[in-house]
Amino acid sequence: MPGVTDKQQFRAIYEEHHAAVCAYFARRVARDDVEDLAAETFAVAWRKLPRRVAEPLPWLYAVAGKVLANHRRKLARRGEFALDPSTGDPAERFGDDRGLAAAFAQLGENDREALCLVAWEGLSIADAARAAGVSTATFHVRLSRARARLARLLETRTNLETSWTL
Amino acid sequence: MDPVMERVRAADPVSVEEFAGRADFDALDLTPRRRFRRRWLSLPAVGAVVAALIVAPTGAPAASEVLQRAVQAMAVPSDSILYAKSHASDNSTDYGERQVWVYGGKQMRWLEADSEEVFAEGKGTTRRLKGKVETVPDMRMVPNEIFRAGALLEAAESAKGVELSEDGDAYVLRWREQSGPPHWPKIEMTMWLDKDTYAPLKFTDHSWGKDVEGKAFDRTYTETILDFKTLPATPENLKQLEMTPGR
Repeated sequence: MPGVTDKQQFRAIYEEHHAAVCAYFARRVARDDVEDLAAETFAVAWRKLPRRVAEPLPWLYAVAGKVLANHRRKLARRGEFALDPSTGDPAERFGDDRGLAAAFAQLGENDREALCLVAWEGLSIADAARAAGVSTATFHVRLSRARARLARLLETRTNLETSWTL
Repeated sequence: MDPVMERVRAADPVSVEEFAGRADFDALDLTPRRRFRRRWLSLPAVGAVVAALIVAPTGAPAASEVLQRAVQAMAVPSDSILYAKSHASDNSTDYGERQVWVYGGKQMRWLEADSEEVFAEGKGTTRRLKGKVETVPDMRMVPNEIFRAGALLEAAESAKGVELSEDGDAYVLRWREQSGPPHWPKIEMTMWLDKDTYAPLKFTDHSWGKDVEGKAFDRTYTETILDFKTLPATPENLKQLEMTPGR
């Protein structure tokens, strides 16, 4: 559409991507905090997003990542770092896949985030790299290693469960 | 996707659809940028800082004065129709001539050789393109960049410096818009203004740097104003805001 104002362009970005940004936080924090963190992300994005950006979602995820890090630091300062699994980090719950949840919990934060950006946010390697704030090559290596570590952990866990059954 | 990644994907605890329809743009607090700016402008020393940043030729009015007068000249009065005819192009494309009518925030019409858009408050936007007409009730048209007096002010406030120069019978205002961190694209706006009326004569939007794919780009959008006037909102003039019948 010709001649939209900056605020209207931002409104369009907001309306198109609000649900995706909320889902990003819902996967990583308690539900009560989701909409506040999404609002904070868009408030920051309003000031920081480049005026011309062909695909804003990876940028929004990059901003969301920083908002998330601040949120976690605040929780840690308040002594809430160890979240109650019943209300806490959904990434630790993984629905019914307890094996995956256990393996995932043993991964480092960078590994988990690389896997989630691709598998859950559905980003391409290039977009996920943008969201993670690293080069595509670096992200490719990070994702490959994360995937390999997770596969090894899942395999180890499967072997343990098999021998226990036997 | 390989089985490991597929297993992670299948364990996604959230669906984006859960949050569909919850967007509420008007509830967003987008004020920090403005609060910051007001606080900054309220500092007594800022006048000196701004004066140091503004480069004005000897004997010419200050850039800030030209800027204010330009804003006034481009403001869309709520009870009149602003009309402009312009020619737009960028590095590779000639967009041809366009005519725009703006009647406050109530009505607007945008006419090009092969397309036309009409907005009316409460009715949405009707678009004709290649003979096909469609109406989008929720879509709101707004004036293009040349009419954006508010945007001009914002740009001047947020820019690190506004340069004023002269080009024959025109004042030339040039400023940089911040697009993000230093490595992000640079954006330079330049506006030529009639020295007598402060009406816009030409506008360029030059941006360069690397796009999101990392490819270098250098683009200049140019809009040359061919006619620029304010019309009284008489019934006859208001007919000009209606879509051309039978095209």
